[in-house]
Formats: sequence, C-alpha cells, structure tokens
Amino acid sequence: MKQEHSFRQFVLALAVGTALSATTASAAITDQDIADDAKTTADVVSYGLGLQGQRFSPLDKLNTDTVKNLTPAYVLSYGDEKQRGQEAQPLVANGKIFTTASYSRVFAVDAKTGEELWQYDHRLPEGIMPCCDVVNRGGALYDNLFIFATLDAQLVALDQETGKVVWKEKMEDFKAGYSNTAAPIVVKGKVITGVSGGEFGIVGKVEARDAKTGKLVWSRPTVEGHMGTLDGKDNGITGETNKSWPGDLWKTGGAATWLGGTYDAETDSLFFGTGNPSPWNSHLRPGDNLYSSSVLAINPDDGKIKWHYQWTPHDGWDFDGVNEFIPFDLKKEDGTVIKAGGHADRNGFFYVLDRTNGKLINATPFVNQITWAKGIDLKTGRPEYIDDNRPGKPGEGADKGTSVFSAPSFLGGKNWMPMAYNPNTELFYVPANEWGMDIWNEPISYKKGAAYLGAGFTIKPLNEDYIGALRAVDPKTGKIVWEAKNKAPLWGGVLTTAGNLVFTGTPEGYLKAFDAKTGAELWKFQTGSGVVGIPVTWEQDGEQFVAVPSGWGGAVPLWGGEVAKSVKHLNQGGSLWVFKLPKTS
Amino acid sequence: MNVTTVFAAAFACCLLANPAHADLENVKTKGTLSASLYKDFPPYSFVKDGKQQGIDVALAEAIAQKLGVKSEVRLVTPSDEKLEDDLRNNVWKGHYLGGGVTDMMLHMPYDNAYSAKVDQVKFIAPYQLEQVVFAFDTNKVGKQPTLANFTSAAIGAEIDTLSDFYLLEAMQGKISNNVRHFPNLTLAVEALKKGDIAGIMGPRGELEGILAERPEHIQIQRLITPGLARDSWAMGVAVKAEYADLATAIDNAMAELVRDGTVKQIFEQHKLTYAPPAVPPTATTTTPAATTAQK
Repeated sequence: MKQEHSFRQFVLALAVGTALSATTASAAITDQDIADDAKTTADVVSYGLGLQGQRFSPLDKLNTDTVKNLTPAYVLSYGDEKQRGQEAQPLVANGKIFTTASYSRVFAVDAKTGEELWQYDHRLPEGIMPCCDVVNRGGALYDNLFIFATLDAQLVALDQETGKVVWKEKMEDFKAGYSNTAAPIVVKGKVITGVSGGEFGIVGKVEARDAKTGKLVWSRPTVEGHMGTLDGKDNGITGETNKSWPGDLWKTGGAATWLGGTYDAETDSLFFGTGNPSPWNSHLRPGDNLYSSSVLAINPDDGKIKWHYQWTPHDGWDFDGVNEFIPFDLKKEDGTVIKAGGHADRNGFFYVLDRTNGKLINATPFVNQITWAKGIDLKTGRPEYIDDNRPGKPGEGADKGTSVFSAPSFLGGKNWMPMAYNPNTELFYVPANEWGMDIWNEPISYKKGAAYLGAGFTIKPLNEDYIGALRAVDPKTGKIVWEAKNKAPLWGGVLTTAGNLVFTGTPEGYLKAFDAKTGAELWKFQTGSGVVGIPVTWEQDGEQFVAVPSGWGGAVPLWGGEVAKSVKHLNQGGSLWVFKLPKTS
Repeated sequence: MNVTTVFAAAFACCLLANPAHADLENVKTKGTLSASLYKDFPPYSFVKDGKQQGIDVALAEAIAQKLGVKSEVRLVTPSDEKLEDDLRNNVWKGHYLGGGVTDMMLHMPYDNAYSAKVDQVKFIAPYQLEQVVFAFDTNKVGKQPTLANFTSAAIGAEIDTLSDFYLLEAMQGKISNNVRHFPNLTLAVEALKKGDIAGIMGPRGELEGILAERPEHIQIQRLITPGLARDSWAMGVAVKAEYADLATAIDNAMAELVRDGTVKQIFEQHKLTYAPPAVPPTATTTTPAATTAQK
C-alpha cells in the first residue's frame, strides 16, 4: 500500500512540479566533469559512473539502514510496440535524465517530474541483422551533446536541450554486417567507440573522433596485420602480420570490440576488450589468433597499442574477451598498492592484471564449473587447456557421436552486464551465471541455401534451483565472499555505493539492493518487466535517487533449451523507473 | 530414380486430399504469391538495371502463373549463421524487426534428414541438384588439376561456407595457407579472371552463372574431394507447415514445370547446366570413400 500511496503523491507532485518548473540553462559538460564523475554526486555523466567503470557512488544517504524507505518517484513508459531488451545505463546532468532504449531510441526526461522532454527515434534501414536483440547500452555526454551508437553502425550526436541531430557519422557499413550497441566514452575531447557485428568477414577496431564534430582522429584495428590511422595517415600495423593466423584468415579475423571500453587517467590508457576470432571453429585457424579474446591497452592520443593480454588464446568456445576491465588499486598485505585492473571473463575466470604492463597477477574461477582449462598458469599467463573438452573439427563426428560438454556455456560465466567495484569493501560484485553447453558438429546443416558444416548446441543450467548468482569477489585472493542466487540468469548491470549497498536487477522484474559486506537482500521492487539495464544513483535537492531501465530481452530469450524454462513466462516491457529516498525518512 | 515418377506419385496422392483450406484460397483472393529469395545472389536472385532478375525470380514467376496469380518477390538478407534463421524470419514466424512472412521461399534444401529438424516448415517441389565444383585457370593448374595443385596455388572460396571449411582442413591443412577468402563468389571470380588466384571452390550454379561469359582458360568441373561428406544437395521450396493446400499446389506446379522443360529452359537461359534433383544423399551414411566412389 505504501507504493500506491507514493504513486498518488507522485501524480500530485507532477502536476505541481510542471507548473513550477522553469527551464534551467544547461551547463556544458566538460572533460573535467567527466574526469571527476566518480567523485561528483549530483550527476552521472559517463558510462560506468566514471571512466574507470567502477560503478561506485560515494553517496551514503541511502544505506543499509535507510534503503527500506527507497520509494518510486516516477516511471516513464517508452511506449509503442518496440518492447525489447532495455540494457542501457541512464545519464543524469543539468536536471535531465538521458537514456537509450531498444531500436536505437533516446529519451530525455525532466529529473524532477519524470516528464518526457524529448524522444529521438533513429530511423533504422531495412536489412539490419543484429545478432542478439535490438538493444542499446547507453550514451555519452559532452558539451551540449548526447552521443550514442546505433544498430546500423552510426554515431549520432543529439542536442541535449532539443534532441535534434547535431552531427551523425557512419562508423561502418551495416550491409557488411556491422552494428553497434555499446555506450561510447569521451576522453580528452574525443569520443571513443568500438564496433560490433556478425561473426563473419568483419574486423574489430577502436576509434576516436572529435566529440564536437564527429571527425575521425584515429582508428586502431584489433587483428594483427591491419593498418591503423591517425589524422588520415597510416599509423603502423597492429601486431605483426600473419604471425598467429593461417593463410589470409587475419583479413576477416573478427575480434569485434562490441562492448566498448574503460579509461584510466593514472596510466593514460584505454582498455578495450575484443571478441572471438572467426571462423568459429578453432581447428580451422591454428594459432593464438591475436588480438582476439583479449584486452588491449591503447594510448588515447594516437591509438597505439601499449600492451595486450589474451584471456582465451585460440578461443574455440566463443568466449570473447569483451567484458569490461576495471582499473582499481590493489592493496597488498605489506601496504603497497599495485595499479591493477579486474576482469570477469565469459570463460569463467576472474583476472587481476597489473594495468601498467598487462602482467597477470592472479586468475581464479568465479563460477563453480570450468571444463575448458584446469587453470591459468600465473608464470606464463596462459591457460592450461583440457584438450579433450575443445569442440571438435567441423565434419568430424558425422554420426553426432562427439558431443562435448563445455562449462561455462558460450553465454559465459558473466556476459556483457557490467560488474562493480567498491573501494570501501575492496570487493568486486560480479553478476555471474552457472550454465554449460553440449556442443556438437552438425553434419546436416544449411546456410544461405547451401550445405554447410555447422555446429549445434544446447545450453544447460548446472543447478536445479538457480542459474544467476551475484557474487562478491575479493581480488586479493580470488575468494568468493558472498553470493546471492537467482532462478533466472542475471543479465543486468551492477551498482555499488558508499552506503554499503549493491544494486542489480533480475529477469523476474526486481531491482534489488544487497548489503555489500554480507550479501543480505535488503530491498526489492517489482518493475513489471525483466531488469537487464544498469542502475545509477545521484543526489538531487538533498535526496538520493536511483534509476534503472526495465524491459526484458537481450540474448537470453533468443536461445531455447532448458534455460527457456526459467525465462519463457517473462513479459517484455520498456520503461525507466526512478526511485528516491524521501527527505522525511 | 526417375524424377517424373516421383512427382507423378506425389500428384496422385494429393488429388485424394480435400483442398478446402484457407491458405491457397488466401493466395488466390489476394491475387499474389509472395516469395522470399536471397538478395545479391546471382544467378538466382538479384537486382540489375533496377529489375529483379535471376533463375529463382523466374521460377517464382512461373509457379505464380500456374496458380493463376501474380508473383511478388521479396529479396532478403541471409542469416550469417544458419538456414533455420531464414526460415523463421521469412516462412513461419517473421523477423522480430517486422515485415512478416511470405507464402514461400525458394532455394531451400530438399533433404529428409534436414526436414526432420524443422517442424514449422514443409519442404516441397525439388527443382535442382546443386554440386560443389571447381572453377580454375588452366594456365596455372593445367586442364586436369587435382586438389593437390592447391597446395602450391591460391584458391578462393566464399567465407564461412562448406567449401571454405573443407579447404582449410583438406590434405591435413596443407592447402590452408593458400585459401583466399571472399565475401561472395562474384568477387572471387573477379580475382580469378585477374589471375590473382588459380581456382575457386563453390556451388556449380553460382560459378556457372557468374562465369557465364568466361575466357577459354577458365574451366568449371568437379574434382575428387576426399573427406567431403556431401558434395551435392537438392534444392526446393519451403512453405509454412500448416499450408497443406498451398504446398500441394506449388508441388504440382513445379512438377509440371520440370516435366514440360520450363525449369530446364530457365536454367539454360541463364547459361547454367541443368542438373535435375535426385534423392538427396544423407551425410550420416555417406563416407568419404563412398563419395569418391560415386565419382
């Protein structure tokens, strides 16, 4: 009943608020604003609540004691029939909330009243073939602009006041299979993006453009042998041509940078993860296939690669290596501090690297079952493969006799959804999933009307009662300090705060808050559709707010099998939920 | 097996069925038979001079004519993963981005083992046997090359196809360094004509169609492909499983078109050797040795 009551209050507030609200002149977002985003509490101007992507807020009004009073403030419905996965992280500045939505849409909302200020519907051409739902993960703010990438691989800058297009740049040809769903970041006046796309024929890259004009500054391909550019001129080849690929496969090597990246000012490095190599079957491409399934440290000024670390050399499981690499200070027992970075890979290992040079410090499982490797050798930094558990050659096992069970499944111990790091608890909060897959060669398969050597797979939950598990990982030891299980797979991002809280959403529709030290569930709210978006928090008129998009979708519902049992009843949606801790409480 | 008898049998069986369902009536009422065909797919379906052209476009038209309606062709982007996606997007469900389905889709496999995996669709009206062949430059590999020639000469393939995977693995990987990947066979043929590569492995229909005008030193023929479980497959039409009457009507129409020589004529107009469909081989029982023996 409390909720209903608040809702009436909200309607009243809306009426009054509209009458009183005057247009505030918006201050332009500067590089300093972005650099300080992790510390400032009145706004959220970057993906990750700061370019390091720790998703930590120093706000503590909302804490383990007060979170029970967190109340809905307003909700915005995205409207129409385009109710697909809502995976975005909202941004907040100058009294406005900006969020992207499925089908390359953007909404701007009055942060006081929840009223929509403007909506931008990107006109999508026919023939786009996004692999895994029509999602968008968020935008970037710079100057008077809101910049985001579209499913047809364009980068669009909108005026924050009006939603009108200021500039628009084609990043790649969608007809060649390219797309983009990740949130860009702005570093020193340049907007930095990756690229996503189908498996075949594409080559990943990281690019920097002048954030005010969209003009390309540098481009860095992520597969060895490809030439980078700076100011329109050649700027050196990535790696060494054909060193770790057979024949001409490097030309179409994949390694898509489809999840964007983070930036660390202390080492002045961008960290971008790369996707799996193509073709999918690893037996067709002996070698490490650099720089697929890796993280690259890149100089933001010229696009040169400083170092790389390959999570899964010769990836044969479609693990990718795109998951975020989050810079943090690793405090050792002797009091020394290492400039480190944390990463939870699809392959099931949680890695800690020295972010100044890419050297492996530690790698430990964050899921209960890993079949592809015994471990990661801390001396060499390479996996100790279990060869029998590598999926077989295409055409092999025509009698379908050679099915391999692989855990994690290709959807990963953790997928795209960003984890968070809390410098107070010194723990990472990882939205993990426990699932494996049977994978076999499919001799009777077709593609584009022609016989083909495909692979078949079924994803299987590893436990009866849960797939998802929010886990607190201690980066010093790799130990899992606590976990909170969830029946359906977790697919939403995580937020942590100085109020000793961890927020994340569930496909069952809840936004939940946990005690960051113990994992005790302290609060939850049913949003009406699955939450696969990323929560944020900020302070406004002396009250702490939390916002999260709600709308079930993403890659999970596209795959059937036994996983479907825990998600097939979930309804789609599309809305932005905003909560606040009222002053009185 | 005689193709005509197969069709005659199918025809006879279906005369006994009661043709009073809505699917065929709907097609007749709206006056059009809509077909999904692959985009940019010469010589089967493509746009040239602003006009839809190709063998599959002509076949769709011929079937529509038999049904007494107009043909309406939708050119679609193929899935980069598997045919089941194309069937879902164009035949039985529709893409989640919208656009709905069409009455039929051409260039679909006619293969019992495959049909068993896709319940939502009926595979009917086989009209062609497609085979994997080689186009090669006789100046580079002579008039009677074998696969071994390509351990020392560059060979092209469309990326992520049966031919691509076969070449990467054939002869214990000895060819893999010479495989050149192309986004489509039109570009591979350009490279062959320029002399950048010595050969191409791919489906006969596509290669013959794209190489309709070819210099004397470029030949197309089958080569022995040890270890390739399937080097030919039958093509037909796919319709939604519930469309029993429409399926029968299309099946009958195609049987007539094959029998009266229309299909052969359409292939020959596009400068293709017409190979009528045979009973599709099943990979589960075909060993590499058997494939070689067929040859």
